[in-house]
Amino acid sequence: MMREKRRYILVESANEIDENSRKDFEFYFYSALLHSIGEINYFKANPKIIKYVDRKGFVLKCNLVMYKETLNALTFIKQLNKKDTAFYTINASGTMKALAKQKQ
Amino acid sequence: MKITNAKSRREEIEDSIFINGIGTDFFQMLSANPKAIVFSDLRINKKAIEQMRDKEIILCIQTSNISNSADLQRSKILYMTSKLFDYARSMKLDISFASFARREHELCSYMQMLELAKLIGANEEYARRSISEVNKSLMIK
Repeated sequence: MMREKRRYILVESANEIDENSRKDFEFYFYSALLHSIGEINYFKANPKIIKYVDRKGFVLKCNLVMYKETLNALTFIKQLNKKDTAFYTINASGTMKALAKQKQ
Repeated sequence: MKITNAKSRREEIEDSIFINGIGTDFFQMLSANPKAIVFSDLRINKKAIEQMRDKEIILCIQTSNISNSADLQRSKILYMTSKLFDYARSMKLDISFASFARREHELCSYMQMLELAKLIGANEEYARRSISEVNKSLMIK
């Protein structure tokens, strides 16, 4: 079986993400992403927040094949739980290590 | 960069971006020699595009229109923008992409702008040139 190639995207949120409400944030974030990217593309992209960098930043993992669609979907998210928000993609890389290096 | 509204400040049009709104006289606006023009209604005005090419006026595409709308409205704007982009490109017009954000939430990063340009129909090289070189040429020194 071929190994799935992934892309790690460093994302910054316009609003702060409260540490205690990360579960809620993830629920609304994935729902908004699903709405933007579509059900069929969502399973192919398989997006997942794997690490929170600070109060605004996080690393989103997605499938390399659907990387562009995921970036566009992030651009299209302007509301989460009826609050205005925006997500800015700062950087992207094939490995977490390289992403951390680029961030420095 | 100076952005002027056609209706209110005609005297500031030169060396600026001109936003073509509803009810504005397009050809009067062209005579003022703006550096770039935004088609806010996204309709293809063939005569205007021809004149823009002759006068080397840049077509500016507003990306906040796309990112701030939703659902069917967004699909419609995407379709109209891509048609306008295709036509302008076939006419060899320089195209620039700008967010025209009024609030922080309307902004997008360079990577996102690049992907939006590709979504509209630009290839990688053309998108990079539109966002960097063409946008820099609009800056008033």
